[in-house]
Amino acid sequence: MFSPLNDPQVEQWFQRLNAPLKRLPTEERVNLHLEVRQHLEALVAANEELGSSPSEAWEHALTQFGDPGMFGRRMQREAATLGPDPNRWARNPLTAAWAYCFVRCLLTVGVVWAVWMVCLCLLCTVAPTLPESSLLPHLVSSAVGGGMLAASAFAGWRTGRKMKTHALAGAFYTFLPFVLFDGLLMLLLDHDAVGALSLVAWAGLGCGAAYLASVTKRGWYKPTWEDFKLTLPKRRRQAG
Amino acid sequence: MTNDDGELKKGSMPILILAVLQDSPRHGYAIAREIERRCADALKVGEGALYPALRALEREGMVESAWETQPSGPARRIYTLTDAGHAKLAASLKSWQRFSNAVNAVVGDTLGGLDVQPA
Repeated sequence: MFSPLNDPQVEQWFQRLNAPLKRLPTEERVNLHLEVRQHLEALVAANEELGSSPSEAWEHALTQFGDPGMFGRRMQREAATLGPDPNRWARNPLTAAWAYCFVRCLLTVGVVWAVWMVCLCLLCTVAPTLPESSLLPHLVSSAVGGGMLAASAFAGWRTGRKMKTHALAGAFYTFLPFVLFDGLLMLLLDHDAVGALSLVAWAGLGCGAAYLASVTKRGWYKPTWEDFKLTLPKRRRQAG
Repeated sequence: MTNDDGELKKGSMPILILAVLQDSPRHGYAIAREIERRCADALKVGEGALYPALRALEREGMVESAWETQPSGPARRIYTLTDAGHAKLAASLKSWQRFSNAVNAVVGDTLGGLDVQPA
């Protein structure tokens, strides 16, 4: 008696189907697997009505469905165009809110820094004796650092837009090497290991926040008070 | 009929799916068979193209799906046309009609000479 569960051809077909689907979310993969199996079983039933034996019916059905590897890759590509699941935010309300606040703080610090730099420039203009004062090194480092921040943030912003990830996340990723470089200098020149480690830690935390921020892709997610509540996500309609 | 004739062109799958779903909600297998039935098997619906097209339509909000328990047998994923899908179908049909009329106007005489009826 033929059984598709024991047939190596059927098993191999599903293995080839599953290989490219591994990146899909579990729920989507399980649903798709079930849908494809039901489709095949319907094809088998139709073939058997036309007089095929069970093994022939399965063989015809698998042939009719087409190359499972190609089908899996097409489904994977289609799923990739969806982008990350927007409900992911709702499932992680605390991390979402934390990431939102962190990236906002990063942006605010950048703006404050820029304003401070402009103020120093104005001070230099109105105080000609500034070059001889102790403020000059701070002014130079601020100008250089600010320029690097602005340039990297702008480059990352453009990259983020081009790669269809969140532009702010792109800006942060580009800014990250400068933070690490600064930490390395701090370690080598000032022998300040704690300071360097703290910079790296902050960079890692920020990187995680930027990653979480990038999951929305299409538009900036604005958390509401509801996001701060620890509630279970709404279950999607399940099979059966 | 050669394979090239029977193979559905990539861009035409969505309009066929929307047209079939306009009558009633169906599952994937029923959609494929209904398309083939309506065209008397002149077009072969590749299952490998059907499901990606369905996912794309679902992502665009043209169709929605739900798992529904059948009176006999396991639950099946049923696809239903949304309001946006109805509007999209109407617009696509108008566009298709214009395109079809234009092509027929150009090749109609030639088709008549070849004893082939335009669609």
